[in-house]
Amino acid sequence: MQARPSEGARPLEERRCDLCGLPLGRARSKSFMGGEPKEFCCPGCRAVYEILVSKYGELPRGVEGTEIFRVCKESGLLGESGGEAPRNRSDRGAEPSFSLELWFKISGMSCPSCSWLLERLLEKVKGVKEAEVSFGTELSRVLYDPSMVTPRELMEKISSWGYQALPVQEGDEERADAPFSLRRVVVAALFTCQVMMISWAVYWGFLEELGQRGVSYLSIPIWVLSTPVIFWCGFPVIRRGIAAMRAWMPNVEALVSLGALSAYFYSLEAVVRGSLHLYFDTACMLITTVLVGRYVEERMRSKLRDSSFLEMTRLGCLKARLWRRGREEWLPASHVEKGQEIEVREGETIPVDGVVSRGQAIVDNSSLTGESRPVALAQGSPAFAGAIVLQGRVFVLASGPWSTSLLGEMVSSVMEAIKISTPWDSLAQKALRWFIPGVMALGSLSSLWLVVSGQDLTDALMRGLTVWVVACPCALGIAIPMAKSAAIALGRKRGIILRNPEILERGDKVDEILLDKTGTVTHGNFEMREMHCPEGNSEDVLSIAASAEGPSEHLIAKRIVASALERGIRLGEVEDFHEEQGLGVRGLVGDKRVFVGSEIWMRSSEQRIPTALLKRAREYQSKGFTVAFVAWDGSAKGVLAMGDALRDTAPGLVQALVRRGIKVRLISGDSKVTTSIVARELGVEDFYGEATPSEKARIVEELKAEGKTVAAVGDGFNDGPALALAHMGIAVGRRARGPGGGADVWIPGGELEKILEALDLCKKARRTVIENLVLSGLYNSVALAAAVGGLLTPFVAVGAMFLSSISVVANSWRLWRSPLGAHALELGKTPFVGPACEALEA
Amino acid sequence: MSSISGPWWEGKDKGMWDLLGPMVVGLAGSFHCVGMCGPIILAYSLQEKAHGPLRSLATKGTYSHLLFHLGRISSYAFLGCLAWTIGHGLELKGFLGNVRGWGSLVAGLIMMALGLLLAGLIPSLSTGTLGRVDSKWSPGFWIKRWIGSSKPLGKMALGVATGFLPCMLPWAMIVKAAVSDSFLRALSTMVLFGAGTVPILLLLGLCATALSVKVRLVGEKVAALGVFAMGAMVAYKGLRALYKFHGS
Repeated sequence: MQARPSEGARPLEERRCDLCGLPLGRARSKSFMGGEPKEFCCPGCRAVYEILVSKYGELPRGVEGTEIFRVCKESGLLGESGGEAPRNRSDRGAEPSFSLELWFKISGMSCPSCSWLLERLLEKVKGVKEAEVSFGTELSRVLYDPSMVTPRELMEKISSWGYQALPVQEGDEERADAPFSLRRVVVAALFTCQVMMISWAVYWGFLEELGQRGVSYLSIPIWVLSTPVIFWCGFPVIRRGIAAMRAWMPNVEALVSLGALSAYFYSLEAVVRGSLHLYFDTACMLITTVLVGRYVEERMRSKLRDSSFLEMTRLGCLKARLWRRGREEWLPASHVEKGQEIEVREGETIPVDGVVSRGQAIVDNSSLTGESRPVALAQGSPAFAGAIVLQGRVFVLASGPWSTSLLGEMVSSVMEAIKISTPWDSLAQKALRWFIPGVMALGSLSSLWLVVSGQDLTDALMRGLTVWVVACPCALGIAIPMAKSAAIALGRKRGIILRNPEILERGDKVDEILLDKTGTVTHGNFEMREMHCPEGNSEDVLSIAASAEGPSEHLIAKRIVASALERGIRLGEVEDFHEEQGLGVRGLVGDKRVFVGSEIWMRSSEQRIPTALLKRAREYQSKGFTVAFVAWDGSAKGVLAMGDALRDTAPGLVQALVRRGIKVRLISGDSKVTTSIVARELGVEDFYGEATPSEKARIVEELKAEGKTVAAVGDGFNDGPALALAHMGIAVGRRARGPGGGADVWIPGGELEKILEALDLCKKARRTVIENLVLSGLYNSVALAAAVGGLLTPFVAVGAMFLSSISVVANSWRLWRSPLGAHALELGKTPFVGPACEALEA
Repeated sequence: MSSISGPWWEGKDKGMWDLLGPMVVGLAGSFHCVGMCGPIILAYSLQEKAHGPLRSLATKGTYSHLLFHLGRISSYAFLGCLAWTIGHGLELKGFLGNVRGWGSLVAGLIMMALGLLLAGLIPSLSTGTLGRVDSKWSPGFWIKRWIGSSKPLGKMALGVATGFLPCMLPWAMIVKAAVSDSFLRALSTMVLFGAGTVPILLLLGLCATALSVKVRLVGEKVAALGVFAMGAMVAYKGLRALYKFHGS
């Protein structure tokens, strides 16, 4: 099309090509397709535009949020026209219709690249919309269209690729026909020994007496022996290799299959030809090394996984014994309902949380606390899921199904934690995805270079193959996830639940620690010590106060109510209840507008405190009590003094923290006077009294702004924001279940020494990660250099690679086995003494 | 690389320039290719399902991209070799007398014209069937067909079709290939040119921010200049050969 004289008002220099955005020149070309005339810098651009417009109706916009689109648009790549909303293209398929979600367990994955491979393969299956496979938990989630594919088909496909798909509940029993079973390994090893023996003899010419002909006959047995190794023992390897190649993601199995099969067939042809240049031994060694390596790796990994997590899956399948109409019935723990009575006999495990209604027993609570101090249960004692009955027999009145029990929540917390990927993870994964193709390119280049410079073709192939084998960074890939899992499992073993694995990186560098007072350094069991009501009757005052405090969850409120009930005082109804966090409550009791709370609350609610009452209150506070005023009709009528005992490990904790160079501060919603007393007892210099939850958070922020790494310890009740904001938030005690969800670490047992253990855990975990990275990284770089330089043979490379990944697993195992519990002694707590249940009560 | 034996305008055109030239033109010209092939790459990239936070289209589609470029280079190679065969055949039949003479001269002039076209200095002619989208004989038809394909083979076929699109740059190289000495030389010219265009296109997703209009314009102008210069060299070679031929 000839360029026409420009019609528009704009001069030529300002006009741009509607496709590529470059300025128009004389070579411009015009198109009238699609309505308005468009101009292009060259006929080529015009042609492309016409193609795209006639296909899509306009330039394809696709998903505007995709990176490549946005970037192209920004750089003017898509010209200036358009920008309309994306159109549904008819060839995209039907609207996402009904789809089901399927969860199952996939075993046999050796490193994160296996999980990526499986994701890719699964998504290619017709009918699968989305697939997610997690290496750490071995769990997989698939979104599929049930009209196009069934779960059974999916599982069969996964088996055909060389992995095992199991329903989530099943255990990890090793099946004889499992891909990398012991049987295959042993057979492969034995046969390979034979092959090596004969090959070696032939190679070194030991059997010259037989003559050339005779020796060449020996190649037959070599061939016969190596065939089953390659094709039966090596079958799972080859199968996985094919699956990987189909998804264009070569893994070790693919490379080894390639090498082994080519060696095998090359040697077969040599046998037919009568030549003695046989490579059967190389082929067998490759297969055997992979089998042995994978077997050992899988065993070690499953040992680590199962011993820490299998108990959890075992616990998840607990059954409860019910008596219904005189008959014994068994229910899964997840189906138990509140109020059902469960019998637990000697040697069994209590399946749900509850209260003992009948019977007596001695139980082992180690699944919860990590310590096997025997605990006595009698009627009325709280019973916890996961406790093993050592002696006796109890009937437990269930407070709910398994999922609401403490242990159930701990288990799901841990499972969730494993799935969380930290910045470490994404960094590692990003590095890996570039590493593999990069090294593969390197391998191909070095092969090519050898060929071009005239070397033997086999040598060149071997060199390239070796580099490719080294390219599979299995060790590097599992370095971080293994350490993370081991750390989480170790914490779990000691009763420390790591909710957020990110703190493993930060925990080592804590500078400041904020300790909440109530419930953390103190037991949180307020006792009503004293009461003073200058006018009127203390019982009335208590009754009114308790009625007002009824709905509140605060420890003090509960204690007031409990004290009233203990004294046999009846409580009335409260209406129009309002609680101000950390300050107090108000409500309508009878005809009185009642206020119960701290001094600040009185002031802000405009209730006057008589001087004599205030003086008495100060006296109480100087004794370290917490005071609550009860007021109505404009003045305080009485003051309640509650005493809270300090935990005996608390002073030791503070000293230990100071010894580590961490600055300790005490913070409390309680009055300044009380807080200062407690601070003095603890040996803490800085304290903050009368701090509301938002003030606690503000203090955390201030410290963070100074550049310090801040840890906050609390019971999660009124320090939720502070725990969430801190770099490391530690929730202590059972009450922290719900609101404590923002905390990074949860210590259900409330033992203070576990705080030190948690800090140690972080340090050790970090060190293990670094060790793992060094172990694998060092291997990878040295091996890579050696491989490119031609110093390695393929099977040495394979063997060394497994050695490195095994050492990473072993190192992570070492972390899991490391003892953390020396701190109880450090804090002055002697073992096996001290009320155990008390820590679990709340 | 083999050494230069004798003045380059005489005899065999060995030498680094012959190998480097197409590659450099490819590299510089890929900035222009980005403008034309870019939207096609974008269009088929959008077929790839964006998978999740870890996968951007750039990395997930790497294999697709490689196949696309493989197809594209294949069609360039095919066209170049075809051109060479025709030219060589004509020479054998004696139509052009001496390829190194008239052939080179004509080819050089064409290349210079293409260079000017690339720079936007002279108007372009109609591209006929190649520019249409409805005829089975036009690459556009097949591009439309294959751009939506999710199969690897489809991507490669898409690349092959794209290579046939009317564009001055590869055409200039084809003309150069036509007057090359040997089949191998023709092939290597096209392959090296194609290879030169690949890096920038591959990294499209990653460095598209760097590819501002200015940068691309500069690249295009450099490529046009390169083409013009190569054309001039080829024409000059032809002239010298003619001169020698007639004069000796």
